Amino acid sequence: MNNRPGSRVGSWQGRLSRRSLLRGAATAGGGLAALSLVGCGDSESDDGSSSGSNAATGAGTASSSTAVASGEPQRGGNLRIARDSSITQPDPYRNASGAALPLYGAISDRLLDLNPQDGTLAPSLIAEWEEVETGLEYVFKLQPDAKWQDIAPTNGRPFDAEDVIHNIEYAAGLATPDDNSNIARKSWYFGIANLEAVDDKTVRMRLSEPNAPMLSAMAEQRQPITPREVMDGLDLTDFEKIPSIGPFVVSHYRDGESAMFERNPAYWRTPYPYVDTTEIKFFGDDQSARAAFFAGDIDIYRPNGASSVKEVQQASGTQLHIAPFRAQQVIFINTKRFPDARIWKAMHYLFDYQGTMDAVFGDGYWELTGPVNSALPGALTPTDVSQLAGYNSATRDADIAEAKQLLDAAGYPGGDGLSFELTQSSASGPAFDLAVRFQAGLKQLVPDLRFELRPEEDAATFSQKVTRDREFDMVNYLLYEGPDVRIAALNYKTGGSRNYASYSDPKVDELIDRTYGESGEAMFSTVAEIQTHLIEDGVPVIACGTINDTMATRENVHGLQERMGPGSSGAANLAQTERGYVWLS
Amino acid sequence: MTTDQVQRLPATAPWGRRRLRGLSRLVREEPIGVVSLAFLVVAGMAAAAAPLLTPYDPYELGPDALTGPSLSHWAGTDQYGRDVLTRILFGARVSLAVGLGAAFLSTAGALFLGLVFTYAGGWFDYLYQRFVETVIALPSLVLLMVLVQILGPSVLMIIVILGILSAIRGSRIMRSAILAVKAEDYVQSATSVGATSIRVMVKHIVPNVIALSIVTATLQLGSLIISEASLSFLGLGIRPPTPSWGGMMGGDGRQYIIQAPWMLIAPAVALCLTVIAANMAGDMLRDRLDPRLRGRGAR
Amino acid sequence: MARYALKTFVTSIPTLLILVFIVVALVRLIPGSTADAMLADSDASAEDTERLREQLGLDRSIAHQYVAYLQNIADGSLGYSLYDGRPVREFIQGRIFPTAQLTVLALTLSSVLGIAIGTVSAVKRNSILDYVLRLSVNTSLGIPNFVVATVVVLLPAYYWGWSPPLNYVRFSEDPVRNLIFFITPVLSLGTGMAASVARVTRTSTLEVLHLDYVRTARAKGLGEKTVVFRHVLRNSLLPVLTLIGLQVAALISGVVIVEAVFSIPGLGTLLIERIRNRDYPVVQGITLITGMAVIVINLVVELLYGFLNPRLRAR
Repeated sequence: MNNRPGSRVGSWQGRLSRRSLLRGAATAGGGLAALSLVGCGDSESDDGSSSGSNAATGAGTASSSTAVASGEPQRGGNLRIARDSSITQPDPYRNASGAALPLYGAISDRLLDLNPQDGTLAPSLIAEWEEVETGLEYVFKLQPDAKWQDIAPTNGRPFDAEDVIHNIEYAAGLATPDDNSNIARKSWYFGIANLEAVDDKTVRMRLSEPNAPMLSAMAEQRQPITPREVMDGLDLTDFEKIPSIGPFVVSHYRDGESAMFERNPAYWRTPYPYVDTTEIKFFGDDQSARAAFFAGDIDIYRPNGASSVKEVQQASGTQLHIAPFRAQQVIFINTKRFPDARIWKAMHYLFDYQGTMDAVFGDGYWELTGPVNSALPGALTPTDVSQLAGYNSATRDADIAEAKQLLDAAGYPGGDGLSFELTQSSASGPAFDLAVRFQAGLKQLVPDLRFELRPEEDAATFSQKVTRDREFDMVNYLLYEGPDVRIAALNYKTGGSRNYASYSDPKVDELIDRTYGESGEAMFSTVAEIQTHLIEDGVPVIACGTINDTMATRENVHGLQERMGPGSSGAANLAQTERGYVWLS
Repeated sequence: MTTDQVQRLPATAPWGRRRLRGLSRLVREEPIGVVSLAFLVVAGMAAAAAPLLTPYDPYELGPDALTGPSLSHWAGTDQYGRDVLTRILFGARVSLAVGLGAAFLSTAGALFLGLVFTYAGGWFDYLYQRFVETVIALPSLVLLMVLVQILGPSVLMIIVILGILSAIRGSRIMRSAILAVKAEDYVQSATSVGATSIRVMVKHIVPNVIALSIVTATLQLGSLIISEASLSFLGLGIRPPTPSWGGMMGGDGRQYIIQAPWMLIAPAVALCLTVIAANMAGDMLRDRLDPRLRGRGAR
Repeated sequence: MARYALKTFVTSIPTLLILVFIVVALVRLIPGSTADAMLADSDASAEDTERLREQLGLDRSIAHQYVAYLQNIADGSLGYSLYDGRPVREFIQGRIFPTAQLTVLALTLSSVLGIAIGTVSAVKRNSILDYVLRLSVNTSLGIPNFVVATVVVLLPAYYWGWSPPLNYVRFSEDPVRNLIFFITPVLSLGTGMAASVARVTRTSTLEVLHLDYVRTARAKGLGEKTVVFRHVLRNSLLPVLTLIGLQVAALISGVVIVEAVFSIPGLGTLLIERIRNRDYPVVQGITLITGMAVIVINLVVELLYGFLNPRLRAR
């Protein structure tokens, strides 16, 4: 499972183990948040120790912690990427998905960044951050050189504290209280009591209740910033007139048709970008994008599932990049319809993790995960998980027998009398593939169990049935986790928005709340307690695995691999957000 | 060669021999049409008897995924090891059921609607005609998409929706034909001597327009089948894993076109042949039944 | 003539009103509201969804929303997108050109090709040429356009590292590339329609060929070509004209699929996208425009029909 064909970076597991992080944390004085106390992500070394690191000051060192594998980056060229959808919602904060990133990934940036390799915080437009009190008070120092594009209404002015305040308030839904129902991630920004501009380049944030993961939220890829002039009426619907603070400026943007960007000479993060221009070609259809990629018309393409990956491997002139990511394939069981924990456990034991996931994603392209996403620091590692009952391939037969006993005890001998409908958000692709194989497996093991599939292609219908009305028996999903293990744990919090199973346990709630005010060793130990509790009691969630990111590029495209990892933007958005780091040979 | 040249059997000849001679004459005159009709009949029977014709289950996963056509799998296997030919046979059930069901509903519906509203007259008819124009003005695929999303993508629903939409369109054509017959002298005289509307309808109008309605329906059979395939292709029709030709082509077929082109080609061929046969048979029926073409020794 | 035109146009107004009502009602019946579409994949709560619904004005009655939309038609905006508030008219203006180009090219191709094939097929009835033509016509009717698209686009790309231009380029920017790009979509769309036109032309021509005045013309000793071109075509084309009028509505359905498969940034792709997103005003606007286009074209066809067929002009 460690041998990934085509991967240009070695195994990541050593780097990500909790021990090494703790070691680093201890020297610097405590945990994830403490690592960021020093406010610097420019660790060229990867053992997590960051003592003596200087505060980063916008030297553009926030990126990779491995050396670029193939020589000196060259400047010049035109990077072509594909896009299948238009930007229906021009406000990035109101976009639940990364649909606005084709534009904002080029002309904007985030307040904070995440190191792709390990998901730790890294500087971005906020150059330094100080944790005055864990989860309750922070001071941000901004990049001195960052400035907006020299067009109306920003006219080249520097990036300042008011911009930061505007963006945080907006993301939290506070800037537009009467119109914030579709601000997509405002639930991550709770507890803000006061935001104050200490001076032009310094902001102090105070919270009324602990919310330490908020910084990771600010670093998440779907939070590109907007100029504060948005509050004065800057029209976001005219894409060509939005001032840039990112690696590129807009040459033209015809949504659905074509878009072209050119290098932003005033970009603060030198020496990026490397390419002169970058272009977006719109394809309505993934098959056409695929054809264009093989024909050499576009430079980056995201393969979808094992067969797609195989095609890239067999084609010439292309290369494959693989890295772990925090996307998690899960199956939620609706506890309102199936409250009996024995059924949850039985399903978990019956699911063939190894066989199914290898078939759907390919051996080496996924990892085991426990209830909390194993790609995130603080969660059980895949190795740990592989020893647990139900996940362990060595105990498969015993597990299946156990499952049958559980079903008997629950009143469904051999599955008879039990009936499930498994909903998916698509009738094709890996999610559906998984469902088909799960169904086939169950038919063999417990033939009396009724198990139907229900692919729901339409996003709005799916959203209504699953998210809003919770009208489903089981639903399988590719979850894009939040970048912090505490945000990921919200899947199990009573009333948590991602808690589709409607799971509820006051003990778990209490523990999750506690982590919001903790950091370092304390936080990790609480997270460990949460996981132990969830595993022992059983959860209505079949955590199938974390899925590696795979990206395909033409042979002459470099710099993308270094930007991939559990802290990255993820394959779905990578081509949009990392154009500034790519170079062409 | 015209019908005059072939010897007719005397009316006193045995019934069976006359039919047989008639049939062989038909085969000689319309070879393609007859072959097409035969193909459709055979396809229909094969679809109905599908479980008996194949040892494979169309849903069960098999051991040999993505293998090409071979002796054990005449059309190869898909990514789950399922036999493609089996899935085509079962998919035929969907396509033929939808095509024939919708065509039948369309014929009966168009006739019914045409009769009801022509006879109703007045405001009723006026509003209905405006409604029909609306339906015609709306892009049928879009209407279909929306209705299927509202009512659910089951085979029955799709037959009903396609059938009714087609009937509404067809009612327009029926209307002009019905009006034409109504205006004929013998119908006028029948009404004037006190025949009820129903009687007139049944005795005079229906027999005269039925040929037209059958012809209209058979001409639509092909496009009805393609409508269902388009719907499945767009992901809005019959849900997988239930096999349907459109679904097989649009989803997995396109996904695996490079590794397993037979997954796309086999259902495409099946669809093509069926639609061609439907059109050819429809042509033949129309040539034979259309009163305007009859009696000239011509087709 | 003018009075006839005016009368027909005025008659189409109630049709349009009914059209708008049907569209307004129908899209709102699709499960999953705009709020659900907007909040899909987000962390929104049920309260958020409900609040958004109210904000978008979706909790008002259908009658209310219908009247509101009629007002939007009157003010020329054709509605305002629920996502970014821009008038629907702007959306349509931005996307109509590729659709128009595709439609006109496909209509031209199908008419010319269809009429030619149908006429030849009828004149040379039951000959080998006729059978070959009929077979090809029916074959192309049997191959759905998405199949053609996939095969033509995907296979060369993979096997030879080449594909026909896959991206739309504006005519004003690069006319040659634009036209080359349109070859495959127009063929996909037009050949199916050409087949229908060919079939109707064939039948209609056959009818006319046996009419008396044609026999007379032949008896007079006029050459076959003269007979066909001067006498037959004018009459046989009348039903074809009607067919073309009817085909426009069918064409729009075909446009939707072809645009989707070939990534043409036209009204078809916009429509599908906005149905998915439940952006009701945009869906209503596009359907209204296409509905009007169909009605206007049919009106023109009727006028042409009356013009060409002197027996009807007396109306």
